[in-house]
Amino acid sequence: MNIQVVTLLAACLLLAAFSPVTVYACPFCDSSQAVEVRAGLADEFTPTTLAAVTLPFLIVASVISVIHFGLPPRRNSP
Amino acid sequence: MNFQAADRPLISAGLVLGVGLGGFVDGILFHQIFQLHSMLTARRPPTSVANLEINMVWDGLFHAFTWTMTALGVWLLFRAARQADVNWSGRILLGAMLAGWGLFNLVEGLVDHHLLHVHHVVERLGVSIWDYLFLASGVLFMLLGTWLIGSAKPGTNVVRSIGS
Repeated sequence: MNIQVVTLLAACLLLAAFSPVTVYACPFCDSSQAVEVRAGLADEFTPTTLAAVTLPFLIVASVISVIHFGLPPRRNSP
Repeated sequence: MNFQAADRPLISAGLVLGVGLGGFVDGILFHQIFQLHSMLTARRPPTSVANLEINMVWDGLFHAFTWTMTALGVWLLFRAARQADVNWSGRILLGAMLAGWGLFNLVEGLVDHHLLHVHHVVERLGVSIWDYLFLASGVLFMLLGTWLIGSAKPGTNVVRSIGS
């Protein structure tokens, strides 16, 4: 599998997750509940929630990158 | 940790696959079957359909990341299989997968359960013994995985085996 294909598929999944279609596809789209869901997906906690989902993956990916590529070379002290 | 150069491609692939597949175990077993550990339950308790739907969207994003990691792991494994100098050992792959799963449990537990408090394993209990057992499972899997990698014997390479 080509890395570009994986990246493209991942980008599509992320776009789908945040697309309005995600919310409009709910069985209560025209209800007040849909309004509540939309509001709940974009409230004051959204940045923290986004961090909660992404941070563990970013940290783990960084650790694995260090194992795979090794640590960057240290600069010699003067 | 100092790994042999010949083990490194398989270890990287296994670690990434472990993160992805471990994330799926979490999502399928805990989030969906046991109805526990959903992404946002500390802020949106699953007591209304709207809150369940909001949790479902964030769980979906979590699954998008685990899918991406799994696909990346398959690609790394495929790439490792094409390299001539890779130590092709089942113990290394299994050990790295376990270690990757454990690393993810440890980091996810620390960040989401104890630092950001967006959810806990059993939400109605808040921070509980289950959250500490979750962290312990991460450490245990990492130790077991590292031991498996360390105990692997030099194996054969697929490319060489096919070629010979």
